[in-house]
Amino acid sequence: MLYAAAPEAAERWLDTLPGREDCGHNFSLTFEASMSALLRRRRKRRWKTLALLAAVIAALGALLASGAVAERPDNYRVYAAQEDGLVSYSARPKDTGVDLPFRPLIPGWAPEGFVRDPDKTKATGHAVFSYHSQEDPDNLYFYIDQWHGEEQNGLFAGNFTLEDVEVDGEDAILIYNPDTSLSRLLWTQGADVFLLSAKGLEREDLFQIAENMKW
Amino acid sequence: MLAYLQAIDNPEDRTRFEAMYSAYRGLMFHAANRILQNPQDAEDAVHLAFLSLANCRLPAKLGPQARHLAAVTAERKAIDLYRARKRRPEVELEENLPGCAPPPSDGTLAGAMAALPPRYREALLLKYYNGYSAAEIGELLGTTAANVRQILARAKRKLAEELAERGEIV
Repeated sequence: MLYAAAPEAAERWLDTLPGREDCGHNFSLTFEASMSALLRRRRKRRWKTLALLAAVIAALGALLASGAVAERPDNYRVYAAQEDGLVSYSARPKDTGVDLPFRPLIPGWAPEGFVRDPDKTKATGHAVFSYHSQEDPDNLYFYIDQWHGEEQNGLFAGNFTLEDVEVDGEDAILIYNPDTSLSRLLWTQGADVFLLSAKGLEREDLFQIAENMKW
Repeated sequence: MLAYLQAIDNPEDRTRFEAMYSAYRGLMFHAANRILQNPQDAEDAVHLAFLSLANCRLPAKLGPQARHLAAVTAERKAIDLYRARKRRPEVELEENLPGCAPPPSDGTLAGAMAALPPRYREALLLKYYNGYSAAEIGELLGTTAANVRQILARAKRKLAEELAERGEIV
């Protein structure tokens, strides 16, 4: 009886969702990059998978042997860890004790030939500014997310390296994928969390952008 | 980890996964966003849903069952994210979640199944509509097979109570 009723029950529940034609959504570049990494991983051949498996096991073994697996400290501002091809990150802005209004910062510097895209995000407490190269917009671009007053967590898939760095004297994490030249720089400033996501940019350019944010 | 790496190498599965990604990511976003009311969080939920689907036996072709699987997985990840962000893990059945208003029940068995709390409905339909085992449902819902069996038993009991109240024979 349950088997017989299940198709109609599923249909009734699905009817509460919009139809396919009404399901349009412009996914963010962060989402697209994460999913493309996941889809790319699924395209690898068996020998590549086995090689990857061996490499991952060897790397984990080396990490464990060296005692280098870091634990999340209690008082972190930014934190990132990589496991099973997934990078998870977290950033906690300072509790300033003052309820300051959200004031989006925009990059005061961009590499030569980059132009700003029209603003898209209107959400309260969150701003995004994106730029692309006029010469090669698909392979040279960056965008900055700024969130106000709230801890931010996220994850993405891919073969990244993680490096502890500083932006204007604040703790930051540089996350870089040499295969795709995608990089992310995560830092906090006062009550705000910033995430700079870029493709094809030099390391120096990332810091130049991050350290020149202005009102 | 081993299971995940092995799963990514099956070409047939790969095609199904890519087809589901192309066809249903918009639907999954809407299923997640009506709960989370935040596009960025909803995208996170969709991404997490695809990570679960990557480990799952996918339907052979696109259609109502694949659509249901995609939407339910996104809904579950959204509910989990919602609970984590609101720090309200004690809300067991998510009866008062935003965006989770069930379709009106008309006293039929199908209506009562569709109107169950999300966790009961998800487990029940993944079993009786999508044909998954308790272990597979556990993988999708982020719980153990034993817990899924318990959820299924409770769902059937609640279903029987609902229909008995309406004078339906179960």
